[in-house]
Amino acid sequence: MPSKPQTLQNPIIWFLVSLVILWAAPLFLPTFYVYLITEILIVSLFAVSTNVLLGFTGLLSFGQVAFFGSSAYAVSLLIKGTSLPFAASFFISVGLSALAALIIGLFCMRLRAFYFAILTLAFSQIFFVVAYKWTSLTGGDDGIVGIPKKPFFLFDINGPDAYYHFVLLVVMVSLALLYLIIRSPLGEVLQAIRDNSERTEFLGLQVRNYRLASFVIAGTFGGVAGALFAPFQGIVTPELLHWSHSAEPLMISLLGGMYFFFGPIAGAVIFVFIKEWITGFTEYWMFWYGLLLMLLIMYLPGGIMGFISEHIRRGKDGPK
Amino acid sequence: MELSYLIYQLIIGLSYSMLLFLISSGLTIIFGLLNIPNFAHGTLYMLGAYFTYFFLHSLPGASFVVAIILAVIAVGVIGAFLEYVPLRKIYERSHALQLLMTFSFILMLDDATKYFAGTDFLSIATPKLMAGSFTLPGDREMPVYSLFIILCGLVVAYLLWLGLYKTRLGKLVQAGTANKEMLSALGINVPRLFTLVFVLGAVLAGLAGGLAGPLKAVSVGMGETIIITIFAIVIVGGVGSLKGAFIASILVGELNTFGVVFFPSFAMAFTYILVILVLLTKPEGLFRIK
Repeated sequence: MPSKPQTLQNPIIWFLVSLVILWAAPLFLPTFYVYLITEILIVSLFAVSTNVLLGFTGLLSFGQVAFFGSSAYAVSLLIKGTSLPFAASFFISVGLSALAALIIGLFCMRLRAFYFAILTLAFSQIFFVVAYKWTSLTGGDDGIVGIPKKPFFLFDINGPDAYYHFVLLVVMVSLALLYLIIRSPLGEVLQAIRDNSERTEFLGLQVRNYRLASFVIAGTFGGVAGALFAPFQGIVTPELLHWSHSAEPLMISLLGGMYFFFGPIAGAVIFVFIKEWITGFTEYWMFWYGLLLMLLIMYLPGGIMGFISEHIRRGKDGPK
Repeated sequence: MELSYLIYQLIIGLSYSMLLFLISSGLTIIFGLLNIPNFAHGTLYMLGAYFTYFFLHSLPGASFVVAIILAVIAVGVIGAFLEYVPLRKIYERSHALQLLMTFSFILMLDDATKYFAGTDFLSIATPKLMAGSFTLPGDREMPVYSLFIILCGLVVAYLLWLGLYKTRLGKLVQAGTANKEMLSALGINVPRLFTLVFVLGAVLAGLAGGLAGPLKAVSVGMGETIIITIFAIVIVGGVGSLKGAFIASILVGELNTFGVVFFPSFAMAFTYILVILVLLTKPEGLFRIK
């Protein structure tokens, strides 16, 4: 099949080109923008991982913050409380997120739609209560402050540019893995489940197991984003684990287009810039963001990518 | 622990339960008929409290009752707008989009409230008529206002029961909850019925907010705090079931009140544990309607 290598080539070239451009970005961007892009990268990864569930499996989880937040807490505690190298703390935290996702996922798999959303939300609120109440471990309301950026293996990642490069590498590798998963047979099955779970079941596939796999994948990469986030902010507080923050990656996916792999990334760029732009002249940015989302759901439920691809398709077909 | 203290807590718990019932009764009927899981229902409750505060302080000589009535009307108007403009567009869509849309209502209403009322906690004085208390055996002071709330809850429960089971409108709501297609097949104006029910729910949530004013600090976060408890009640009681919402409200209200007394550090988690247990064992709720 001669066409296959070509279709494979494209994403790899795109991947390398964006990696090189983003790697060089601190050379010509002021530190403020380096911070902003670091945030966009972390938010992107969290949103893309959440969208594996929302857009590609058809599951609305309102508890993804449990994996992001618990990983952020775990990495902070390990960094501050032990002499483990950062890399070890990082991978342990991500592993814990994966484990938490597996356990919670096993319980949640029997429910659908609203009930699934509320059950995941309730589980994540247990994490919130633990972070809030177990003061001796988590610092309670005050959280954990002064989380240092320790070297990752031999690499010094202290300082905004160095940490940006670290985040960039981890996020790009994670996104590449997620992309491969979505394009793999597993990803195909997930999308089949999203479109028609009964028919997929009739094909002899264990829908439940595939959904669970999707939940663990989302939780794991949500955990990666959380482990990157804690040293970036230097502080974690229980607020991070509150259910209302689970809405953020969902909203971002919706904004960018949840049926597209790159939708949540586009959404994250717009989200972070809108936040930055509107907070410049009013502290009530949430109002405008809420209004934008409401109009989006009313008139453009496919998100921005959906809108663009619709127009490209129409352009190709010619005016009708 | 003496008996009088338990009785005191029981009554306090009951007044909290009745507030929960005022909010959850509306949500369960909305969810049952419109099939919209409204995340912003707690936010309507918050608006009720803020509007009550606003009318109490901006209208010279306005009594508590007048302020609550005006607040309830204001929340009803906002509810009508939310149903008529955005929600009407997405009835056929997935729960995911519906939940996210109602979440966008929270973002807007919360920030609008902050803009107009600030972020400070506000307090509403208990109306003079009900400011007193009487003494329970064992020298416990029982505030009259708590009994007033219980009375309000019972009256509303009775009226809702009458409305749902004894009127034509109530029959339509019941029929629609069981089978929506049948309603339009019978030539009923379904959209108008939906708006009416949504406004009724908003009005009840607003009423609860106004009544809660003298009991709690009025703050912007109160909607997000209570909505999960309310969803818990709707799930435990069974979606669409008024009786279920009533019993589940008492269950959850007392559980929370006694939870704080006996296990103060875990009380926060009770609601969530209850939701998890019910969803895992009896996801259709304890008083299934369909």
